[in-house]
Amino acid sequence: MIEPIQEAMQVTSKPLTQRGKALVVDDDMTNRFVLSEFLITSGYEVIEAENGKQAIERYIEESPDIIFMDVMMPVMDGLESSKQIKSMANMEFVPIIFLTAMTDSDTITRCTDAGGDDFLSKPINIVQLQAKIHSMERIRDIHREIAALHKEIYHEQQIAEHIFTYVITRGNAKLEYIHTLLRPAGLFSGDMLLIDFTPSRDIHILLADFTGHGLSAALGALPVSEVFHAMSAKGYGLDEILSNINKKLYQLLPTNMFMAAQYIILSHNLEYITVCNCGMPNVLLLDRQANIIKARIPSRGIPLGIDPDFDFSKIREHCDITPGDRLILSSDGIIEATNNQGEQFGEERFEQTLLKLQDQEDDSYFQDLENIFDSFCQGGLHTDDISLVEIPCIAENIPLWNKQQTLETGSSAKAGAVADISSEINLLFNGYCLKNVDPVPLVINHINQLANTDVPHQDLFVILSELYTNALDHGVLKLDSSLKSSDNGFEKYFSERKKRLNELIEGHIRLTLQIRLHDTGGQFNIVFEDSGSGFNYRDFIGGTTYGSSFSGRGIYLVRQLCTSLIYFEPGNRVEAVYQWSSNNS
Amino acid sequence: MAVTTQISNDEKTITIKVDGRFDFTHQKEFRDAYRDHNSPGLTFYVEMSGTEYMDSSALGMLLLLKEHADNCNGKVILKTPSEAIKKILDMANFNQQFDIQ
Repeated sequence: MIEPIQEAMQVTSKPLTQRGKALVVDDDMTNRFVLSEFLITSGYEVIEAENGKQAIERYIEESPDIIFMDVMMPVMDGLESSKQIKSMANMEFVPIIFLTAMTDSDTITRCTDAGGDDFLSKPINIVQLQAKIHSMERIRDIHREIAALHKEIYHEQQIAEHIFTYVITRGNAKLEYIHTLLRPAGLFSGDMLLIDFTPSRDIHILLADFTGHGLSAALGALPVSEVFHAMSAKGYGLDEILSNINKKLYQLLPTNMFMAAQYIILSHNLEYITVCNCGMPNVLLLDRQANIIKARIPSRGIPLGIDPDFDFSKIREHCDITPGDRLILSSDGIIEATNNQGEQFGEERFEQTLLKLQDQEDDSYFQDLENIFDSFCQGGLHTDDISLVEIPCIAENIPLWNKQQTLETGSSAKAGAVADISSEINLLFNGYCLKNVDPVPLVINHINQLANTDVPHQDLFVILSELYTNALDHGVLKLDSSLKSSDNGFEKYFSERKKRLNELIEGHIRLTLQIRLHDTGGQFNIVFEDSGSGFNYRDFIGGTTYGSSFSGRGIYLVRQLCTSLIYFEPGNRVEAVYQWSSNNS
Repeated sequence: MAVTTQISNDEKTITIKVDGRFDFTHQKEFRDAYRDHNSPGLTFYVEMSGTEYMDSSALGMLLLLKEHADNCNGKVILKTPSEAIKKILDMANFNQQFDIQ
């Protein structure tokens, strides 16, 4: 016995300094003594226990680094003691080495089942003991390293998440009436909600769900939010924005990753919504008065990032809304949420809950919805990102629109001021252009490049897009706007518009835009001329009330914004003069 | 989830059967089931009668299989999905991407 100890001591002479605390558990005093002596000479501080129960107490008091455990002991045996200690140790790795006289496989199995990391047969061979201590120390060091790394990664992810969330959400329009429940499964969410206004004060809302969750799922969110905000702010439509995001994701993401999305545009006059649903659960539109779900817009498109040439205009839908309706967006995390009996929240229960709560006031509605969902899921595993969004279709959601209307424009621009910049744009749109391109953002862009002064973009956007839409819809496509006032009028109107646009062979719209800019303001002369036979502008131009009928509002608005608006017979040519003074805006 | 692979006698069709939950945990097994089969004109069947659940990463795995099949002029057919699985495939409109039988 003596020789091996010396040998062993030579081997361990290097780490004779503190190696930590060893707990020796044995009911036999001699065994404890021999082992303790060896451990002390190897550089351990040693504490002892006579049985399993005492071992637990010592473990709690002293938190040892390694434990040597006898199996058969009075009061509490080593197996039970080990089980309890391991369950208390949690993430911390505290190696337990069993000391046993029996080396049959049954005993070994019971030892490892109880949480033992290794075992030594009695009588103890010092060389073997030495080797086992070394190997346990190695494992413990790796364990600690992993724990430290884990902590570091978590810390870094926390910082990244903070920055990330800031970047994604800072561009969002802050609308207190839109209620959201966004609950990531991990630190990072693979779900994302983007909200922005267009220059004409339509609200664009994008709820997206990337494949998987966590950091890798969240990475695609940055470029998407960039494209979304940039394009919606310039006034691009849903098809163009989705198509751009789709192409970008196709380039960026690996084949097996994609983004499901619900994209909604709420029209500024609260008359209709435009929806694209690509791979998400139904978008729900609730009629508050009738207490029904008046529309379910199912997924008609494939998720984004799979097919770069996907045509979103084919799956776009319009629904008429009535002020007070509620719009519900959700990711699959809601209907697939599971309680502790393995039962899913499910589509049916979700819809029933939405209806049951209908008569609640706006604020408590969402809160109650959240409570019902939470009490169902209690105790269940939360493995996917969960997103739920409620958008009440109310004027309060469009707060800036009214302000915009009362802005003083035009009147105080200096008459006869010298033009510092003057430019004329002539554009002709026909065939392909009319079908596929929205020219208004292009024109606005051009003006931006021309002048960095504070051109009132919103006004300009409204004027250009209203007049362009009139020229296209009523001039080239010869649509009758009285269609809008029938039941589901907007839906009918838009589907007829789509049909005629698809069948369009000839026709054109000509835009002449004269721009004069000086350092205190400017003037735009806007002329639209279309190939149509003219439309009954007189019916609209004379109107003095806003909001009383389903059509003609566009012209009313343009009239409010412009210094003058003149239609020329037979109604296929219109000239608008818009003036502004930068001192005034 | 369990993945089992069968190759027809003429070596023209590969049937990959996915049982239980179809999710990210068995991505490697699913990929191993097809990655070495790349002779031209193969048909890959994904037998889904025993698939109980699938998540978005499983949809992603199917897209990877399709890419593999496209690269060797082959095709992918999703076979006998249950109602629940079909609903998930429908939501993603994968019938536009895959042949479902």
